[in-house]
Amino acid sequence: MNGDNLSPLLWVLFILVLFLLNFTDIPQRMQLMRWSRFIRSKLAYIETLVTSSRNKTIQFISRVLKVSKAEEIVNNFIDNFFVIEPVDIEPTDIIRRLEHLLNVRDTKIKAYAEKFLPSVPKELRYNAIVALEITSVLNSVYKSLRHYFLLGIKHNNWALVMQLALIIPQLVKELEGYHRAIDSFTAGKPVGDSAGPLVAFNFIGLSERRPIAEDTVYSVVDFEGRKLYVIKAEGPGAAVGKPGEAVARIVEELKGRVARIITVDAALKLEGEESGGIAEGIGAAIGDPGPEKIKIERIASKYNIPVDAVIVKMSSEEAINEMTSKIYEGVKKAVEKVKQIILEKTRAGDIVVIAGIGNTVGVY
Amino acid sequence: MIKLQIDTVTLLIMTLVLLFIYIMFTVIKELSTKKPEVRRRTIAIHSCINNDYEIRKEFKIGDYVGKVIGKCPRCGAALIIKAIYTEVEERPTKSIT
Repeated sequence: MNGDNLSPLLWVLFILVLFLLNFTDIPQRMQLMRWSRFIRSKLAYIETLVTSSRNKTIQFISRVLKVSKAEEIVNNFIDNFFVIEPVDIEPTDIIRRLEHLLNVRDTKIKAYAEKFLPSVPKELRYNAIVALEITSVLNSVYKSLRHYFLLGIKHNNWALVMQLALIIPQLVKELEGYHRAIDSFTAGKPVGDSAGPLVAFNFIGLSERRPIAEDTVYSVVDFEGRKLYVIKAEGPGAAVGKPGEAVARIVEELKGRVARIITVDAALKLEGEESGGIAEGIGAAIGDPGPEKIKIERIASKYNIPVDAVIVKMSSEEAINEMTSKIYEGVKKAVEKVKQIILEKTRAGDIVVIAGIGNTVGVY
Repeated sequence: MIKLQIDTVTLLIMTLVLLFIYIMFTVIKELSTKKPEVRRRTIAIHSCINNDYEIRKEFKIGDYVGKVIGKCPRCGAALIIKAIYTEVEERPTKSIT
């Protein structure tokens, strides 16, 4: 082969390729093809997570809870029970309206569970509800991702497909965490988010639990001459209760004679931070959409009670999965921190309210 | 006309070699970023309420923190589950890089 005869042809080809790459949509289309292939493979994987979660939930309901029609229970649940957020361009009473909508949803879900799982103990029924919720979340996220992907392909919107391709690996990691969380809840193991209730348990042990709000209990114990009112969700089923309402009721019952309110909760760590680390701050450590947190803030400001926040740091994946030894170490540190706050900032004879916020699965 | 110094066949071979290196690099990178094997073991700490006895046991379905599981072999007080947590052991997979 004579290279010299081929050189002009190669130059023409080179210039043609340069032109195609710089002045046409071909590069974007090529990238669109690559991104589409990548997203399709991830969506197929997410679909397997959804199917697996669905099967795990069905197995839990049929084999562990021994309830028939498990498939029907799961199928009827996963596409329903969405909440339409309240109008926010008119903010008056938005918290009350939001609380009302959340309560209605909560009641509706509990009624659904009671209807289909009537003879199942409350703790296991609550665990089943969380398993159903997780399956529902996975299904919703899968459907939303598929929607945006198909929309991007349909309209050749490479910018939309690109964003999806960039964010989907992170979402897959989060969804894997959700998928694994079903095992923790169906087995009734404490999860990372149980850090708050576990701190509360360390103060109250097996003391009498008195109901104070829906799925919420409190115990009264003595500690170094102080009287502690310790609030947590009613365990050991998967419940978060209404700690804000409980704090408000107790403080009102005590006519505001409370030296301090201490809230303990799991909090999301920043990337690079160690899991199980603790931090102390000011304010209500509670990650609800708003109604519970505002009740603590309102009652504390009404009676001018200082509010402390103690947080146990963890990732979002750790928060919904079985409690790791690192987080348990964090719980022990948080107990010591709460004791330190009580000893340093209150006096003997004072009343202190402690709220262990979070899901109390696996914690009495 | 500019005369190419490199023979066309050499140029094509060089391109193919570069392409091959790129593909190999991508494959090796993909293989070496496999997730480490994770072993999980859930532990339940059984403890006397008087804190004079403690034993680690494997978690069983039905266990929960605060469950009374018997009597303390030392003082006869209630033996309860004090904590349940999971020990995570990560075994890095062998990398070929």
